[in-house]
Amino acid sequence: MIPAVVRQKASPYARKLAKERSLALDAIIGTGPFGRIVAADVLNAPDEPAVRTAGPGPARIPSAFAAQIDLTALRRFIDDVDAAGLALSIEDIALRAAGRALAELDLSDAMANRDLALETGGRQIRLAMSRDHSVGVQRQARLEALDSERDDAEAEALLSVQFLEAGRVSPVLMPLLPGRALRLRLNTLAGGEALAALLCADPDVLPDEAAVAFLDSFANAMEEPLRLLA
Amino acid sequence: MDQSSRAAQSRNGSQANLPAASTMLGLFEKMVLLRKFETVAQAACRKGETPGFLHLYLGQEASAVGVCAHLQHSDWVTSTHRGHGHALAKGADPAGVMAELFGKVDGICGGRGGTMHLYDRSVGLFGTNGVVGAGIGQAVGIGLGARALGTDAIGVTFFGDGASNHGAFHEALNFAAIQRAPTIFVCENNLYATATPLSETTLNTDIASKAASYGMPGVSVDGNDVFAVWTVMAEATQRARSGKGPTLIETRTYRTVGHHEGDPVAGTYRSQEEIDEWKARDPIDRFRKKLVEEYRIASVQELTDIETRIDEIIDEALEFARRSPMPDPASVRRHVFAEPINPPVALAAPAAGASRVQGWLEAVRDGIAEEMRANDAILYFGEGTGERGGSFAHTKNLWAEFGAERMIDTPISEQAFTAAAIGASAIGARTVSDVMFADFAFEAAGQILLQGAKLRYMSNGGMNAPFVLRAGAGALRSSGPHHSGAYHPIFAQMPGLIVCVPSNPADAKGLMKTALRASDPVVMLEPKALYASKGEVPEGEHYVPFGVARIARAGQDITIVASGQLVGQAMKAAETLAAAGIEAEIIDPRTIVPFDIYAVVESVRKTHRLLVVDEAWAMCGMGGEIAQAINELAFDELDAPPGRLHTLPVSHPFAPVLEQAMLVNAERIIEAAQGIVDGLPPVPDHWMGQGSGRPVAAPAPAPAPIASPSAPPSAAPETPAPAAAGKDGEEDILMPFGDLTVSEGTLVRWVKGLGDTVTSGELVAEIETDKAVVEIEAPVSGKVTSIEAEVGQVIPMGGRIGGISA
Repeated sequence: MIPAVVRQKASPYARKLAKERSLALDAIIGTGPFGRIVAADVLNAPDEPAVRTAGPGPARIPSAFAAQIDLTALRRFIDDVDAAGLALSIEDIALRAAGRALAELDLSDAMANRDLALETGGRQIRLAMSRDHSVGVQRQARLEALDSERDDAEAEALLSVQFLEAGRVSPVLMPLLPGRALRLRLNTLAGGEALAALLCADPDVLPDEAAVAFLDSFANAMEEPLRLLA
Repeated sequence: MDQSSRAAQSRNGSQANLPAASTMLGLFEKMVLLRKFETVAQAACRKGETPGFLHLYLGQEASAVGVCAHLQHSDWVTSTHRGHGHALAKGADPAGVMAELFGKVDGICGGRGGTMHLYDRSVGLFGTNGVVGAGIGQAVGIGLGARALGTDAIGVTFFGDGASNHGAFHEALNFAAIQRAPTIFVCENNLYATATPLSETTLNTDIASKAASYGMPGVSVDGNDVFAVWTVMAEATQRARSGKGPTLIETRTYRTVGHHEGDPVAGTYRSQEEIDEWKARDPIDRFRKKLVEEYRIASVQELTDIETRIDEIIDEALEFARRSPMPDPASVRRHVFAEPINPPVALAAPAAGASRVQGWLEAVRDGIAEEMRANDAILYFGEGTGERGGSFAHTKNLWAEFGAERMIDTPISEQAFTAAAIGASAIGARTVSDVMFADFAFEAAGQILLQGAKLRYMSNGGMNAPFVLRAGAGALRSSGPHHSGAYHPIFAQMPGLIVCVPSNPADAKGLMKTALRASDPVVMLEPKALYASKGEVPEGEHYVPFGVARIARAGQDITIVASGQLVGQAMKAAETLAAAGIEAEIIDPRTIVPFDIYAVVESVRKTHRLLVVDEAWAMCGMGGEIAQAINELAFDELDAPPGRLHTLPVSHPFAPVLEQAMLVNAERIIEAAQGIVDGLPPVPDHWMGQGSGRPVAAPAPAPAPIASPSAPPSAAPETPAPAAAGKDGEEDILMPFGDLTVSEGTLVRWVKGLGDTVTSGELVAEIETDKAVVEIEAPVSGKVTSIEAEVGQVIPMGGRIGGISA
């Protein structure tokens, strides 16, 4: 099971200021290193009842990491396989790359489950991203699941992945879904030549270094898609 | 042993040559006291009543008793780890000594010192000593100190044959001889340094003969014949008291017990036959026989009565020791420093008055001179600090004013003259031990750290060593691995030392003056890079208290703690940071011990960020110390992890580019401060951990090639730039770069004028610096075509004063 508690990173002085002002740290966005809440964040926080500590139970602020991924090679790859008669989308490759990056993570045995869940239309579809299956098989499974009405929100998975349409506004932070230690949001940037990736991670489950390694590995795979076929 | 045989001859004639009967009986009584005391102490030790080691004086009684019989109350003895006999012979109370061996509160050192650290100011017992040879140089200082105080007291030092191969012995004898010190060296040759025979540690086992090397008399005497020792000591004492100088006495004796209690009596290094042979020459038995049969001074019964009386004294001593309570654990922190730590004069509010700009060296010289005028018993020991005025001109003019007896030019014997500084200061004089470079303090490390620092505590507050260890410290333009160190954390580690690192002439003077009034040893580390600096110095009496930091610059965004020459670098950094909107507050602690941590706490409460910069290394250093103190005292005030920036953990390299690569400078302070403001302190890498948790080692980056030999490194050495560029076709006449601690000089005269013809090397002008008159020579042959400085003008090092056309 994934622990639900996430420790808020905040400087001692920021904690003191927040306490003096009866502000809940989890309602404050940290702008310091690794999302650390510093004094300025507390002093600049809106003085609204919603962020008072008296409010409802805390929502956790995860660590957040962003990466921009060049899609040039991936698009060429998709065109090449298309010419060879195999239909693949960016989504197929991204899920494959995410699965591979998850498999590479150095995690404790308790975290053996490396499945990921695709967020779609308010529900989740769990996908087993085993290396034993080809990309084509996985694509088939995904399309079938999308056509079904099943919801795997309660099923075990380490990561949830969400694809977003291109747009000028991108999220900089998002809450984790219950039971998920990682959440990856992907959206193509205007022009379609690059993909913006936002990874949020529960620092109590996954150290920041590991989250960074995951995102880095994912981005590398997306930029060198041939490796995913190996 | 002429005297000894003379005494023996007296048996046949009148006893006119013998001292009074009371003296002779006194010798007997003292020896019995020592013997019975040690025998009882031995039994107590075997019962487990005395904690720690016990080194007994059994068998050697004649030596201590014969020597100390000549000493006045005002004389002092320094002793060894086998020193109960010396303590008792000098007059220490047997009950108090016994209680000390028991670690009890009524011991002569309240249980703080114990067997190897027995001190009693009231009887002139400077101390037994746990370190071989450590008391020898102290006794030289006692003699010199007594002379400065105008008394006829002498210093007597006991040590063993083992110590005669220690540098402390040779340094001290030489120093005492050249100073004609009223000191007597008593080597108790019991043949073994612990278990090592003397004959295996030196080819010259005639210890007394070693005195000849130092130009003093040396005499060996049967150390088991109390009257022989007494006779030799009579002459040595007379010599010392009458100003003729020191004597080395070798008393040949034997310990009839093991090295310490629990050590086998015979051991593997000596035979039972040898022990039996010496026991047959037992000093008490022999003297008893002589008193009765030869000198006919006393009857057997009279001597038995003495022994009975001593038995009672020792029984009472044992009972006293057993009854005495244990010391109160709550008192454990007492007697580390004087209470209060500052002399009253340093706490008086400074009178607001005029100030004037002075160079560092001049300001400190003034401070020392003012204190030496106020106190005739201040002595200054150093190499070349007498008539020559010091290697840095840092004692210039003091010899002329105070003379050779106070400005004492020493041999290169840091151990001896630092020991002497401690000895003299402990008996009421005050001393400066000037070791020139801080690196050389380690030559005297044992004296500073084990003797001076601990004296107050070991003696339960009964003794103290208010001496000043003065040294130029820190990096200064390629001074190299042995002349550059900043070692204040090492000294700060040892309880009992005050450690000063001033950053400006006013503080340097004020701290020096306070040090010369204080009651504790002071390590005064003056950054020699600042010797050539100038600053406003208050006129008149100016004292800076220990443990009071100075806010060098006020700011509200980050606190930077810096001392010594890094205060200036931090100030420079603060200007750049201010331009970037970061206002740094700079705290100059001025003294590392005591450390004004609350000044830092108060500042961090305002800035919420901390950077410690320090010239010493990071390991167990200032950054870790202060940062952790802030964690403990002001954790909730921190808005970023505290940062530290130290000199890199390497020895000081010679090449300027390497040296600059290791040192903290303004640029690195700026970078570190910005990092902390961004929440990311610089992370040092001095730990060298080899465990599994360490990060995977990245391949070391190849050193970047230096683009061109002329390209200055980013952290350029602060070499004063020449004042003016030369003219085309002319060779510059320059004030030459020379001494590292001189920055400028005054043009005294032009020897040549415009249009004069000169040959290369010919005298052209003279410039006077703080240290000397520098002769400026023509760099080439030709005609003087430019004169650009006037007489009286101050010229920076490297500055152009004229030109010659070839």
